[in-house]
Amino acid sequence: MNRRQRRVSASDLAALGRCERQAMFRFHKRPERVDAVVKAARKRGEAEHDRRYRDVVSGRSAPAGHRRGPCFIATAVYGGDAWQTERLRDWRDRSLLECLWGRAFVAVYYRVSPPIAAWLAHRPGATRLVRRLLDGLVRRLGQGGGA
Amino acid sequence: MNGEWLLSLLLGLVVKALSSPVFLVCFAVGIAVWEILRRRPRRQQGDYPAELARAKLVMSEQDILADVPIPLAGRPDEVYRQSSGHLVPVETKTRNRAKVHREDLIQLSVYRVLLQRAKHNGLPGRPGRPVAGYGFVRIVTPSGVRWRRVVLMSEAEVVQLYERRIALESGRVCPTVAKHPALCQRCAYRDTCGPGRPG
Repeated sequence: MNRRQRRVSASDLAALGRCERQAMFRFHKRPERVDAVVKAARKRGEAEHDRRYRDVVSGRSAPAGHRRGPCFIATAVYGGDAWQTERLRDWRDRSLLECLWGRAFVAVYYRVSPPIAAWLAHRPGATRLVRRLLDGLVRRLGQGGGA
Repeated sequence: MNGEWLLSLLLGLVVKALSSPVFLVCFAVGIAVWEILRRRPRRQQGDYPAELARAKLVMSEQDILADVPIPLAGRPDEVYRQSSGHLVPVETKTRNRAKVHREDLIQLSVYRVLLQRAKHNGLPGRPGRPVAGYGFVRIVTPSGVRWRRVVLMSEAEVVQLYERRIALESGRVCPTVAKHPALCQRCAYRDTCGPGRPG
């Protein structure tokens, strides 16, 4: 990679498809005048975005192929297909769901974790911290031969 | 007279029932069960396009970085893996009409390059992993959710756009204005935007 090259985000490139002049005003941080209609539309969009995120990570909205139950916080931290998430799912399915207290824990966890996962999605610092905690648990599960 | 007697009898029974611990426990359990059943999440499997009907969600709202062929970053709303192993990016938009814009096409095309080229980022496999030649824009309109399939741009076209962006930022080329005057009507920079506006 050429060192002089700057990292550009997908939304920055997409902005060129709308209006290059607007994209450059934003890049140079020119003062904006956003009217109430646009503000309301942005707010609506953000709310829908958060709702959709909660629905997909909780499994409330899923294609038929997405059969395995979600592991919300692990999905938010590692990604839905990461080996760490798979290991935590195995632990849930093979150990926790086998006993009464484990099932109770999973039931409570399913209630409280979707909003936590949604909150983590916008906080990389907190996500790193949770990841470190979960790494310890995943390591212990690995040592225990587990699951 | 009879009515009053009946009412006092009923009230007496209610008070007696309310003071019984068995009744209170049953009532509490009943409320808890009703609440759990009411809030139980229901799967919505019917609202996906055929291409994603058997796909699995592999990523949601996660940052992806790639340095090759150009340094890019992105956070796709959703990425699904089809049974064939191909990844499909999905972006959700809230609009009044179910219309796909050019910016959606660019955004999904950048995600495609990122998914192909990212080193790991929680993605399955190694760089060079298969990514479908299309993505989906999931548009939430007042009349419901519509899925729009979009054929994506090639990697070379994304690189061209990147170079255009860098040239614009450095001032080597002049930015063009929006093609449709309607876009200018609610633009946050309409006061500072000079001549050259369409319409």
